[in-house]
Amino acid sequence: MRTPFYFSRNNAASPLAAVGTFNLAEISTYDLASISCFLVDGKSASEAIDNIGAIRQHDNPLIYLKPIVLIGNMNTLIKTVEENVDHSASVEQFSPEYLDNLSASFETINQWIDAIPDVATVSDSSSRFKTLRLMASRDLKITPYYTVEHHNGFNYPKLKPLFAKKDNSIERTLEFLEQQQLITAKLKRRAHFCPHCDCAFLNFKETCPDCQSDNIETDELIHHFKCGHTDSAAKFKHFNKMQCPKCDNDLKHIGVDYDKPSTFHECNECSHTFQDPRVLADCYNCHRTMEPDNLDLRDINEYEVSALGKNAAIFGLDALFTSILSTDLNLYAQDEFKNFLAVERSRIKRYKLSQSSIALIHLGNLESLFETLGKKAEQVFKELSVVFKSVFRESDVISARNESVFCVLMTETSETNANLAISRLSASVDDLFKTNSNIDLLISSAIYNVVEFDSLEDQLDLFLAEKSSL
Amino acid sequence: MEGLLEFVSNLTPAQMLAYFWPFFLLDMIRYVFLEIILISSYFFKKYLNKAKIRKARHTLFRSKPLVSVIVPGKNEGKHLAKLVSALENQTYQNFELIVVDDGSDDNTPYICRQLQAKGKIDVFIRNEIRGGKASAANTALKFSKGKYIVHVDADSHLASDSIETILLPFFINSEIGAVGGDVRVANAEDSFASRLQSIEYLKTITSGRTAATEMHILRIISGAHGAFRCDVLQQIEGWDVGPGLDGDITLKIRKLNYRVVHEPKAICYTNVPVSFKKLAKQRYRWDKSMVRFRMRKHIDILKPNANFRLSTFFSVAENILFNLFFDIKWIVYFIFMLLTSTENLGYILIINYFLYFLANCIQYFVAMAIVGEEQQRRDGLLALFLPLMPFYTGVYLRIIRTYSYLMELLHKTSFDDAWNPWKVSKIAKRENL
Repeated sequence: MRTPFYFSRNNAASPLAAVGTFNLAEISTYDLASISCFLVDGKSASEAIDNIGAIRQHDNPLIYLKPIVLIGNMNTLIKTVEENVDHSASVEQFSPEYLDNLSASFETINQWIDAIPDVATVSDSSSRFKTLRLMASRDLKITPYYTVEHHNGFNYPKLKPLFAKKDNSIERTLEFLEQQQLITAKLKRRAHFCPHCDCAFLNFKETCPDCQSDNIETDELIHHFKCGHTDSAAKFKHFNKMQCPKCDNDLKHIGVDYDKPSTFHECNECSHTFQDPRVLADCYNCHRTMEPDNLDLRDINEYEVSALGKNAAIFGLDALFTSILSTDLNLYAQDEFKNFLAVERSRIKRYKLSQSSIALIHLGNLESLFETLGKKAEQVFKELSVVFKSVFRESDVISARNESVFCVLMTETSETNANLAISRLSASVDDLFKTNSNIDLLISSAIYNVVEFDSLEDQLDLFLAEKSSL
Repeated sequence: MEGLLEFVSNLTPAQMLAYFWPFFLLDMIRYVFLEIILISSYFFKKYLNKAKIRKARHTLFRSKPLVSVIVPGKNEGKHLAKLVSALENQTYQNFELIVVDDGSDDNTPYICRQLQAKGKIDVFIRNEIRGGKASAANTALKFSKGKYIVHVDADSHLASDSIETILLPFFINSEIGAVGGDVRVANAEDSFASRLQSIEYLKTITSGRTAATEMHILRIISGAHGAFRCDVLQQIEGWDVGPGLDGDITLKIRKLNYRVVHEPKAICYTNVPVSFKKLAKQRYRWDKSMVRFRMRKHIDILKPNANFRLSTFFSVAENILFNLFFDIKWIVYFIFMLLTSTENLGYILIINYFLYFLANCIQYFVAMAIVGEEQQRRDGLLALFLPLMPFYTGVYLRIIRTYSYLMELLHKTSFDDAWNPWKVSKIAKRENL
């Protein structure tokens, strides 16, 4: 039976008599697997944040993945701190039954932690991997929390304690995990950020296009049909009615006696008249003024762990197909691949002696493979990697956009020969899966002549779009 | 031919006068003799005023008043780049360019905003709802800060010293409220119709309006290129509903006892209709304004108790007399000849043609004397088209004019003109404006 522990960095005594204190300095003296959760005192917000940070920033998955319960007076607990933890409860609530229930409610998480291979000995130093594991252990949907306390206007409170620095590490980490298809993103909001300091607190203002002053006034033009007089609306106001200053006739009905053809602005600083004010954005953080077009427009997403991510969270990133391929086949980064491509294209164009091809390969159902294979995925992927190695030559350059999309620059290979090679790859993959399991790996591919291949990103997008439209 | 020569040789002076009285008594005196005298007077005064003109130019460049160049119009975006370029080359540069887009439905707003972003247009006002030319011009007037307002049509091309020259009369005579620029045809070589209009513009604008200025009876400042004192425009509270607002505003200025003059050296080139059909439509619209404004709106000028200058009276009286009444004289003359000299009608028409051809030649060469060497070189070959001018002005334009007068007199068709938005025309007709 697992039991909760009171966590305090300064070794303060537990306010709950039935709960023992966890001393981080004497970690080896505890049976970490028997701890159901850590209780953190929420009396002082800063201390609570420090304690939560100390837990989440620890390398040991038996520490940083443990559920955290914030305890204190429910009326005084600070919401932003509450958002960082798994649960919060008032001190008065804690009875022996409540503690048992609490431990029982966290059993799923603890069992997940137990399932990590060699959990007692591993140490996770990568914040990316820690993020993935924290999300996977709780099957957590990470939702942005909009706040003025963070200069970019939002944060992911559950992940915040994993990171020591208050920068955009969380977003960068989530972005990386999404690129690797370990988590999936869903757009929640699109927002503008200062390109200099990433601040979301921007004041959009209409200014004079000549002097950039925001001391401008807006008025409407009125056109009196009868006499053709056109002037600002203010000039037509005569006591409680509208009267034409030119012919003294009353303006009664819009569209019959008069209309309002346009609106205009006048600058009180330089007297410039204009209709299209220049919109500028002031940053509240770095105090710079910018054109809206120069602002960073970014997506704010909520994230969930994908099937691929769930597998990788348990068995480690090394079990991922790209990691295996990277070791066996020398996988190049996309930028390096682009350089190779440019050089090869120029070489072929210049000498016109031979042909080179580009193969784009998509492995369709990798995620379901992960789910089905579980622990065996690493072994199967190693075999798959051997298949890749046998089909492609050492002179071929291979790069992966993510786990399931690969680009291969097949040098000195015509489109026909490249097609043959990809057919061989498909056939070998089919053989591999037929002998190992009853599932198939769906491979789709496209072959291009390197000379006619323009932009890697565009062609990849086109290839994936065509594939998904089928 | 022999019969014609015999008919001519047998004519006594009295018969000559009896057969060809419209030419000898009216047109020759008014458009040939009087114009030669007046143009001579113009040259003589110009010679005498040389020092005054020099001083006026000196004052202009010393005081450098701000001039507002206003360009109201609809769907004129395509012409603006050229206009802006012509303005950049002006010898007088202290001006602001105000463009008012009167509800264009093409890419005019986009072009204007681009030019404004490049600093080529100072003020651009886009009226989403079309209000008509007067409303657009008044919008421009509202936003202008200049002491002088130069009204330019977007498809006009100004000569490089045009703004400088059109402003000089204001510095010579403080009674001048408005100055008309000399509008010439830019696309003379485009078609047969445009060549004939080119000769017509030289005769009626360059020469005709210079002569009218000498008589102090100038009655129109072209919208294509006209300069106004801003305070005068404010006194008359801008343009009234058109069509024919150029003539209307000129009369309004005259009614305030300001002088209006034509400046033949302030040159502006404009594109004229290239087909006779389009030309007929344009003239049908223009000619209606003679009845609408001279005979209706500003008829008070002709009243005995009117407190205007005598020249203003003559300006309108001459216009009505020569354009409206003497237009009818041709019908009377033709019927009279048909009844009295049926057997000689052919000879009479041929001789009339030669007389008017001769008059056209004289008028053309008088105009050539004004335009200067460059224009003389440019328009020299136009003289080859002079034999056609009696048919153009005497028949084609006369038919349009007569029809136009009749339609306006009987049906007030100018109020139905699509040139103004329907909502404006409806009120103008109801109020009899």
